[in-house]
Amino acid sequence: MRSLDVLDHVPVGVFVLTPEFKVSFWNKVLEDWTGIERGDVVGQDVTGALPHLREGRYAGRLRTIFEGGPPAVFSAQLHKHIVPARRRSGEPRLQHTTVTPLRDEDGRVSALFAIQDVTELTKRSRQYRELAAKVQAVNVELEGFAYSVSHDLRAPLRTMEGFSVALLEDYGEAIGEQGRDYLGRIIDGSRRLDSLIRDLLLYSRLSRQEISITNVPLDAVVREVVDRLRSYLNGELGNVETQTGLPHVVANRLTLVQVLTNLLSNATKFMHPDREPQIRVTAERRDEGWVRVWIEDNGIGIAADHQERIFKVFERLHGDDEFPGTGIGLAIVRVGMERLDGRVGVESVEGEGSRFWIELREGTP
Amino acid sequence: MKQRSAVTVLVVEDDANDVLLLKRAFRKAGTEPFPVIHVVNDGESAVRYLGGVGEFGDRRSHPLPDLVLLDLKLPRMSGHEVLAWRSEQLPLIRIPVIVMSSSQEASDIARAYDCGANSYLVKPVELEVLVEIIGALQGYWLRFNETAAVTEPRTFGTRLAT
Amino acid sequence: MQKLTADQTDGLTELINIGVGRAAGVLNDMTESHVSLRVPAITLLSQDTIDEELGDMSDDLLASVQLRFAGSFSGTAALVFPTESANKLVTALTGDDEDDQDLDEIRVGTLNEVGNIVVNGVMGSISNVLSEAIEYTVPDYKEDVIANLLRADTAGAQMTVLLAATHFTIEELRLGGEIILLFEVGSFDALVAALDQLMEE
Repeated sequence: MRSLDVLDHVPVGVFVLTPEFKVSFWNKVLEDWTGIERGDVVGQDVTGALPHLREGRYAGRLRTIFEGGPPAVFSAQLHKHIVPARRRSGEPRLQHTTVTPLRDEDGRVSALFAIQDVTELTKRSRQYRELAAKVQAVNVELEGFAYSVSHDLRAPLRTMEGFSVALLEDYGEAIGEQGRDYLGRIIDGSRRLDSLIRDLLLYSRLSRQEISITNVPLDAVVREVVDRLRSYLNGELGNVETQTGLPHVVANRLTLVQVLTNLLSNATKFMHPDREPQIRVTAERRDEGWVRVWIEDNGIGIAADHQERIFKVFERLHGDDEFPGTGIGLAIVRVGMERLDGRVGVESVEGEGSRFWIELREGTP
Repeated sequence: MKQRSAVTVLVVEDDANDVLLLKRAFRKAGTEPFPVIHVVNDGESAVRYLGGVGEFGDRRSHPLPDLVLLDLKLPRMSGHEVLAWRSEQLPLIRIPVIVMSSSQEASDIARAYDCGANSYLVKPVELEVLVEIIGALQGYWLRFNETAAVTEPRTFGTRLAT
Repeated sequence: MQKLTADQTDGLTELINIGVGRAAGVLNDMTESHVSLRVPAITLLSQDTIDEELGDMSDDLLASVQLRFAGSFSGTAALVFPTESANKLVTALTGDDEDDQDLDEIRVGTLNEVGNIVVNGVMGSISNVLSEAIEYTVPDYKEDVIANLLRADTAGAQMTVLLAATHFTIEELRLGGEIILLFEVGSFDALVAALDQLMEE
């Protein structure tokens, strides 16, 4: 037998069994794990140290090895242990063993046992399993929470808004101008709170809902988003120029529609007071199968030190009087792109306009 | 387009404020035909009303509606459960049911349609929008939409003579 | 792509059934369960058509145990576990009854062994009919979509894929499912010749 001493220096328990079920090699790692010294086991029948290997469930599979057959795997879950080994704490060492045929110069085949200690791996897997169960429970709870928010928080809002409007309509004359102004503020407040709740719901739904990823035609999606925004804004979308022949991308259609809707309405919103609003949607192929979609505007732009912040929830750069909003729109874009395994970013010069981009994998038409 | 004498809408809604706003929206929309509105406050009562059971036994005071507006989150029996019940009541299933819910969750919407809802509307916060929705709804569901006769021995001949 | 006669196909199917039968025996000895394994039919495919054949799971991440072999007959043997089957099998064999789990390290170890036993059973019955010895590499576990499971190792070569949908049943739990045995080889010539000879005898 060639020298196997080099196997003393690998972090794997190794021993060799001859076809006569005698141990012919026992490495240092196994000495350490089992407390059985090499000298006490090498040359001896396996029955002394590892009697179970004589049992049918092992002997049968080992016979194949001695015949030069394919390697055998003994997993930690189906086999308590191949070698009796405990850690200092007393817990058993969980072992994953691969047995391969080992041919000597005379063509005799022995079985080489390579034993990995998978105790830590297994422990970590269990922890991970428990953690996953907890996350799942929290998610279910969050879902219930969001559901309840959508129902219960909006009902009183309808009451506030609805009856303020009714009051204004029916008794507007009686309460005078200041009274009407106050009512207007209540109505305005309820509407703002409503869009806030709606955006937060969208944000939370986007981050937890299961989505399926398919090939999506960017052309059709962009057209859909622009048309829908145009009718929503009663034509006040400004001039939107869209590149034709946009490629397919790997995405979830609804999520992509949401992302592009938010980016486009963002582009229309921050108009420069002295310029006709001009928006361009273009796409280019990047390295390694990525497609980058640009949404460019000639609006007020974003100062360099704010460009990171704007993708966070509730981050706003302007007061409500200037540009009303919930501060969630771009956060929705970020979460949406995270869910699509894509990227998002912005290039902007303050006062000149912004160039937002998203990147997705190119799909097949 | 068809002619009808009295059009009845059953509103299944537990929030008294929403009921008031809904009635106001019907009034403000000003679209013909202006319906007689019956209100029940929970899912179980909706089932009893539609089934003509107990206090709802008399079809003269509680006529079968031409349209049901159904909230989802209701006491005792949810809107989804009402829909599921209705899907097995052969003549009653012909009465269109429009879900009006605060929920915009995809699962709620899908489940409502799966249970046989004819339409799904999200309750808006703005009264103005509600008026718009109700106006459109009256035009479509109460004026243009053709309904199938709900033959019921007890009321046959009184309600269907239109 | 290589073609087989009806007789050759029958012979190969029988050979594979002997192999999976032996594997089932090993599994039963080991786990005191009553697993039975059966291959109703085999299909020969070119690599390009394998996606179509397994179309409904072409996007799924599949667990597989692979064994490469070389000799008069060389290629890769793989056992592929559709997710549902993987979970059912591990649960049945280990009594680990937390269902609907991800394939964590613990379960991957078990799958690795089950795959090893089945592939070895089949390779055993194949090597029995071949006169020349076959050399094996250490078995490998990977998770990928079906298209990437085999192809990666043999880019460029014109390979034939033998697909054996294998049905397993576990009596006492009254459950069953499908696993897929795949052989990817340059040629079946040596094996077919040995089979022909065997049938003539």
